[in-house]
Amino acid sequence: MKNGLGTSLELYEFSDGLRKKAMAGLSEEALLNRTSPLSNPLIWMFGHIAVMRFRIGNGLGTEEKVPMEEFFGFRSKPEHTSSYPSLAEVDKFHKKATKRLYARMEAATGKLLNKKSPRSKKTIREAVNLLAHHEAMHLGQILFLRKHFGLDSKDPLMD
Amino acid sequence: MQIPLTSGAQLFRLSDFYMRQSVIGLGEADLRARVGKANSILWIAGHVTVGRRRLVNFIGAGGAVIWEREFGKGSAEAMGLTMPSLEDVLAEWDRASAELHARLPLLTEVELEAKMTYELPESNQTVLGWINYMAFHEAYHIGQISQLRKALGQGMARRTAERLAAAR
Repeated sequence: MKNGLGTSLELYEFSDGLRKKAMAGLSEEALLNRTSPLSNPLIWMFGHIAVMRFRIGNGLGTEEKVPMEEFFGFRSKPEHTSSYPSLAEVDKFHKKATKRLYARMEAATGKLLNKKSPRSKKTIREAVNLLAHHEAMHLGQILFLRKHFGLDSKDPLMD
Repeated sequence: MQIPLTSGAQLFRLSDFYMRQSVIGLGEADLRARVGKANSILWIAGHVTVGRRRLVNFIGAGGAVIWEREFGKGSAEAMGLTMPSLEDVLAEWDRASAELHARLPLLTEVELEAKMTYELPESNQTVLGWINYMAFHEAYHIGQISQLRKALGQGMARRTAERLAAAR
């Protein structure tokens, strides 16, 4: 990408690969399982990653209402989990948010990227990049929980 | 600094911040506790530190990587393993961090595009790809520490952790 977002895109694509592995073989029960009352269930983390991709995409173009934000946005709590969207619905939304984000990253100008992000002290370029860190942290948590619940015997970044 | 490196450098700085936050207020027992088959918080902190040290040495500092046997890739935590204290791990983390941020701006385009001799999962096999992989790897494991804290009943609201870290 000529606008300097190539490394951010590479990190997102790395995240996409890990996320795909992390989604394999999850039952409804595993998706809602939690290690403590303070922790979020797996479905929340998958939903949160998708919500944040859509939200960051908003900063790079026309702002639209963020789907599923009431379930998976910042400060949303894992309550009323019986009304959560299914993993298939979350995955469909993630694909839509990703396609939209990548297209907007490709089209973003240097002028837009150097503007202040409306919700933080960072520039839009920094906000786009920092989302990769955010996703990595949640994927680490997801892969930890998979191992904890006996779904995996190995950690893909460890073993 | 070469433009493709600025993204990774930003991620390293964020991990500098979260690393300390993730272990704040934990006692020895929690630091060394094993939840199921997961590695302990101290082991993960050591593993991330060894990874950063290896990166720093590779991009210019040279020298041996300490605690490679205890915390290196593929060396899952063994029962009865003698590990350094958290204080020592964080001191090494701080040293490696200072050297990392000093050395990243010195790397040239040619050095970044050089081929790596060993493979990392889903990373392009260049020095730049490896640096980006390590930036992602650190955040991934620091996320695991926060999940382990919660599993141990020691989870901390993010704003509380930020306040405590800032007060140090």
